[in-house]
Amino acid sequence: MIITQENKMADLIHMNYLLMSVINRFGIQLGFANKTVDQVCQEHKIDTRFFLEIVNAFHDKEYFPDKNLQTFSIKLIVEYLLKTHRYYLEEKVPELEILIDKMVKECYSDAENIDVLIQFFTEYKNELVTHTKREDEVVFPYALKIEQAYENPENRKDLIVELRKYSMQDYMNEHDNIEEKLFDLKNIIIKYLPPPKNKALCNTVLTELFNLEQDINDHSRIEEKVLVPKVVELEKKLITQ
Amino acid sequence: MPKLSVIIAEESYLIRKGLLSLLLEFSSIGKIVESANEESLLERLEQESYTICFINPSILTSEGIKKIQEQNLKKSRVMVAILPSESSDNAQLKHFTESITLDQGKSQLVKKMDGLFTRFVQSQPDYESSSGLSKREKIILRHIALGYTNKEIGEKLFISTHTVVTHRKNITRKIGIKTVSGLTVYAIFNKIVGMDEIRTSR
Repeated sequence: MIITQENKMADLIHMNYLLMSVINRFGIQLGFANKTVDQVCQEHKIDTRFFLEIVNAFHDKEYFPDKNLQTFSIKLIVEYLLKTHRYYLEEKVPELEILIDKMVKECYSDAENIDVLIQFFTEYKNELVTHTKREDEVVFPYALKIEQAYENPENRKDLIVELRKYSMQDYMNEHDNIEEKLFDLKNIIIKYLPPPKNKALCNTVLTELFNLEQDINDHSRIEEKVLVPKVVELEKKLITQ
Repeated sequence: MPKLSVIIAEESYLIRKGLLSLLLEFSSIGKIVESANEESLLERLEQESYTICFINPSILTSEGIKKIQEQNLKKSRVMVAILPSESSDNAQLKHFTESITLDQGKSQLVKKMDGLFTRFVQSQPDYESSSGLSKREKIILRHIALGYTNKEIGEKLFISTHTVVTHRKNITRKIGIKTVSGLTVYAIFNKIVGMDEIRTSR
C-alpha cells in the first residue's frame, strides 16, 4: 500500500509498526489522535512530500527509486541521514548492548566462552561508530559543499579545488557493508548457541536485531540510491561548467 | 539443495498466474516457466527438462500427448493435471499421475504440492545439511580465527590462495556466517580454536 498525505498518521503504525522509529526520527512523538500525515507534518514544520517519500521507501522496497526522492535538496536528505545515525548510536546500540549483556548473563550463564559474544557486539559497535563518523565528518559535509557550490557560482572556485581531492566515487569505494556482522550475530544466536534459559529475553534480542538490520538496510539504500546519484550528477555539472 | 524446475501449461491467464504465485511460495522451486498452449509447451519441453509439469489436459491433442509420453520415457517427470474439479473427466487423464483442482483451497493445494516436492527433493543428495564442516575446512577455519590472511593460510598449508578462497566460500555457505569475527566466534564455540590461542595470536 502506498502511504499518502491523507492517511491517518496512526494508521501508518498499524500497518507497519517499524515505521514508529522512522516517525520518531522526524521529531514526531506518539499521540497524534486522528490527524492525517499532512496535518502532523505541518505541525512539526516537516516537508510532507519528503516525509512521504521516506516512509514509503522504508515500507516498500519496490518503491525505490521513483526519482521523487532525488528532487529533494541534499541538505534535506543529509539531515535525515544524520538523524538516523544518531538514532542508531544514541538509542538502538546502547539498548542492544544492555540487552545482549543481560542475555549472556541470564540465558547462557554456564555456557563456555560466552563472553566472546559480548566482544563480538563491541566490535560491531566500534565498526558502526567509525562508519557513521566518517560519513558525518567527511562524506556529508562534502555532499553539502557540492550543493552549495552548485547554488552559489561566486565562490565556486575554491570548492572545485576541493572537489578534485575527494569524490563520491571514493565514497562508494570505501562504503563498507555494516550489515554483515549483524547478520552473523543473528545466525550465531539462532543456530549455534545452546538453548537459552530465558526464551523471552533471547527472542527480544533477536527481534531487535532484525529490526535494526531492516532499518540499516533502508538507510544504506537511501545513501546509495538517492544521495550518491544526486551528488554524482552535481559533480558532473560542476566539472563541465 | 538443488531446486526443482516447473512448467505450467494452461490457457487461462488467471489460473496460470494464480498457480505461479502459489508455487513461488515454495523454497524448493527454482525455475518456473509458463505456456499458454500446446505448441509452446512442446517447444519448451524439447529445449529443457522440467521435473514437474502442471498441465491442463484440455489443451492437449492426442498427437501432443504422444510426443510428451515419448519424452517421459527418457526423462523422469511428474505429470500433474489441472482440473476444474475432482469429478472432471478427460480423455488424456490416464497420462497423468497426479492432479490438482480449481475448487481446492490453499491448504489442500499446499499439502498436495508439498508431498510432491519433498519426494523429489529427498531423492537428491543433500550436501549441505548432512555433515558440518569437513576436516580440511575446520583446519582452514582455525587459521582464519587465528587471524591469518588467505595468502598466509595458503603458504602454511601448501595450497594456493585460490583454494583457500574456495574453502572459505564453502565454510560461509555451510554455516551461514560471513565475517571474520563471526567465524571466530563460531570456531570458539565449536572448540575448533581455544580462547587463549586467540588472545596470544593477536
